[in-house]
Amino acid sequence: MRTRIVKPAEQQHEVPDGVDALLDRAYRYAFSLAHDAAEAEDLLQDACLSILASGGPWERSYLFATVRNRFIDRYRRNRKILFLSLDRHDDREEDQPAELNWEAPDVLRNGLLDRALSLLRAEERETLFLAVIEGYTAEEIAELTARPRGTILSLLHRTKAKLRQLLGKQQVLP
Amino acid sequence: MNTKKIDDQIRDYYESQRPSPQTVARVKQMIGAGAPVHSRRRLWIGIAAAVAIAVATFIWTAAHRVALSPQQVATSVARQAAFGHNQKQELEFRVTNCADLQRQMKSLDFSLVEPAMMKEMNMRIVGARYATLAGEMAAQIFYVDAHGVPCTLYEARSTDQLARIAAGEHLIDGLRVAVWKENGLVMVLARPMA
Repeated sequence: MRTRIVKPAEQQHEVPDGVDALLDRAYRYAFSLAHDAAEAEDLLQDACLSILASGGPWERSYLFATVRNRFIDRYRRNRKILFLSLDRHDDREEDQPAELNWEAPDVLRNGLLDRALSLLRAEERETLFLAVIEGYTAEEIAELTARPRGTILSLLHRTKAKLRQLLGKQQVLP
Repeated sequence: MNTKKIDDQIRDYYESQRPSPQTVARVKQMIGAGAPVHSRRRLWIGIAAAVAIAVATFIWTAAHRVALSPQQVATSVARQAAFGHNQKQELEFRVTNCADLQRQMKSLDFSLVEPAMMKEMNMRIVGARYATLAGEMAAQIFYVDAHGVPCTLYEARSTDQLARIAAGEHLIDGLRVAVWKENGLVMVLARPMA
């Protein structure tokens, strides 16, 4: 019987436990930034390559930070405006009182929510995603995005208000 | 009309987003392999490029050494001597005659010779240091003339490149640099122009 001797270089490394769930979460975070499935897959793959090359840990916070860095690098390279100054107060919605978790009709159907999210800025979607889906506190979002905690709280409030207004507008459209 | 909290709907929306099975399989394969394939390839390309550059540099240097004409060797050595003179480096040995210097510079692989020209010009030896000339070990000897003007003499064995050196005089950086051979040694004297 022939036995194949596996050379050290060919040895397979063990895939960390829970990597499927981690990849799903990182993909969703990438999707929240890019709002494009193909772009999110590229970001995820780039981030994983970067972690492999650096030997970094397979942890959510590290993977998220790497995805974010890759996103910024990519858009900087493409000379696209990525994040606007968060110190601007030019959103009219900000002044309107907004319930942060309101009862809404089914906005998943007909792609209403998808369209409304596509109209948000990257940092708005990112903050919404981290707070609502990942359950990050304002402190944790501030740490990941290197912004003051107060700015994050204000951004989250404005984003919710903006989303509500966008959904309201779309629902009355034919 | 059915209603639902907006956060729940946002959660449902993002949880319905998943990477394609192909992407997940590819990423897991990369993780299993341990390191990105393209990184290893880049590493090997980098090593190969470094080796190629080293080989090319070696070949070029060897060819250049062989191809240098006697005049080019002399010019190169004269420039080096002029530079060495202007640097005014510290003396390693303080002596008053060549015999003392020979005794102290034990690491030299040749015997020092006091050029006849130095005596004719009333040059007085004040010290020396080890140096190299065209890659050969040399003695950099410091003299002063009758007016106290410093001069620098290099002595080295006449081997390899120096064996083909052309005798002559070069004017470099306000210095007059004389190159000649004497008693099997190459002599290079740098002194200020009068």
